[in-house]
Amino acid sequence: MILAAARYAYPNAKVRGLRSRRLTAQDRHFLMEAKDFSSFLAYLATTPYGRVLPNLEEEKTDPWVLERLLARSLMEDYAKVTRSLRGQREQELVLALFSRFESENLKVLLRALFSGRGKQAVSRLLYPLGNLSALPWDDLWACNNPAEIADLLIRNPFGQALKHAIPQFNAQGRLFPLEMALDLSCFQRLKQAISGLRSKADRKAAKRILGPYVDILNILWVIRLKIHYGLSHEEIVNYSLPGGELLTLSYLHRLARAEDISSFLEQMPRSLQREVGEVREWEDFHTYLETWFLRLIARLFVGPPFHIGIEIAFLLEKEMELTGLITLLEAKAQGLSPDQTVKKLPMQFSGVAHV
Amino acid sequence: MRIKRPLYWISGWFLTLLPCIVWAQEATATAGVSPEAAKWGYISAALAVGVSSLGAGIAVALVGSAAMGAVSERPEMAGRALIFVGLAEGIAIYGLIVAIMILGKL
Repeated sequence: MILAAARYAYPNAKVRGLRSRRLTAQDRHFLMEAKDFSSFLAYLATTPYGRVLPNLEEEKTDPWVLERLLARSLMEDYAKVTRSLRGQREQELVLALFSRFESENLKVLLRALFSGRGKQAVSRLLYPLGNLSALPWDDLWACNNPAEIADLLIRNPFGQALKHAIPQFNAQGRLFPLEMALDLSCFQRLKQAISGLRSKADRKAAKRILGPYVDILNILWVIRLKIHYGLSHEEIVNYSLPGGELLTLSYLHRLARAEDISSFLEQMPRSLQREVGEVREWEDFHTYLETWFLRLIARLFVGPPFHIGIEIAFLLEKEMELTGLITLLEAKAQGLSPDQTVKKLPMQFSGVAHV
Repeated sequence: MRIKRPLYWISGWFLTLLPCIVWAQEATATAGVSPEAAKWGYISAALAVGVSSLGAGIAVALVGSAAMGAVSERPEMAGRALIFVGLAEGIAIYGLIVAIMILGKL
């Protein structure tokens, strides 16, 4: 207990300090009710996110630029949390979580390469990773094809994953296998980082928060691959992420085979059925699952304090807040009314369920 | 590192107990109480101060680092954080008071 307290006293206090800067219920209300985009931005500047929006007047015409500026706040928090942790293995877990953003930027790079565009044309789509990313981005942008990228990153899990996926990419002529390989390598790294943690309490706490997170992603991916991509159930299971808690392989098989929403719901584990039982549209799964996950996070913050789960929970919570904020920003930029916007937002934002 | 850690522990305990051994030897020569009682009294007083100081040290280390973490993100919390560091420091003072009470009986 004393050793765990010594290890986590500083980072956990820091994380709770950072967490105190999340948007309040009042902030969410006023952002939702803002009558137009400029009043939305004016209010946003008064929230903790105002800190990362220094040139608001110049940038406000482009919501994409604003989104990346807002994402800087999350990247800064990743850097702070990583620096505050003592152990290398604990840092590796946070970096493995961070690698999802590196993977997103690599996907943008691959898409730019595939469509013959330069960095300038897609720079607004890139996450501002900062110093936390150790990938050689300048060299990567100088590459001419995915094979060169894979060679450059060969000592990194991304490089190995890309190398394995290149034959499929060549055969199919589309980026999908490369993108999936990047995602899978991130979550494989995350799984390894969890099992590499020294303390049993840390491993348990990390699984408690990341297990359901992976389950949610797997459910959403099954829906996406099934509905939007029309893949076969074998392919869908093949692309599922490792490290889930409730969804075993047999559950995933059954979900991938489900014909409609009601049979999809029936195939879910009991504990998840309770959370998403009221879902009537495929798009609603995201909202319900996110609300369930936010409740899990909130529960973690009132439990025993000295474990790595606090840091992970904070970073995922912040990421979800940011996603909600960006959705709201896009809705306001398109001139949607609060009523139209509510349907697109997680319940945390729309006020249906405050966690 | 494996050798250093036990060395720190041994030297820490030695420095904690050394004064009580010395005091106990003096006490047997000077005090009016029985030498056996005086010996254990001084040992108890030294232990009260030494162990409570160690406890306070650990507590200040934990509370202090947590306070620094909180203050680094919320500087306005510095005043409140100091109170908690002071509470941890108080453990050593309790030990000192107990030691003084013991010494007063000898």
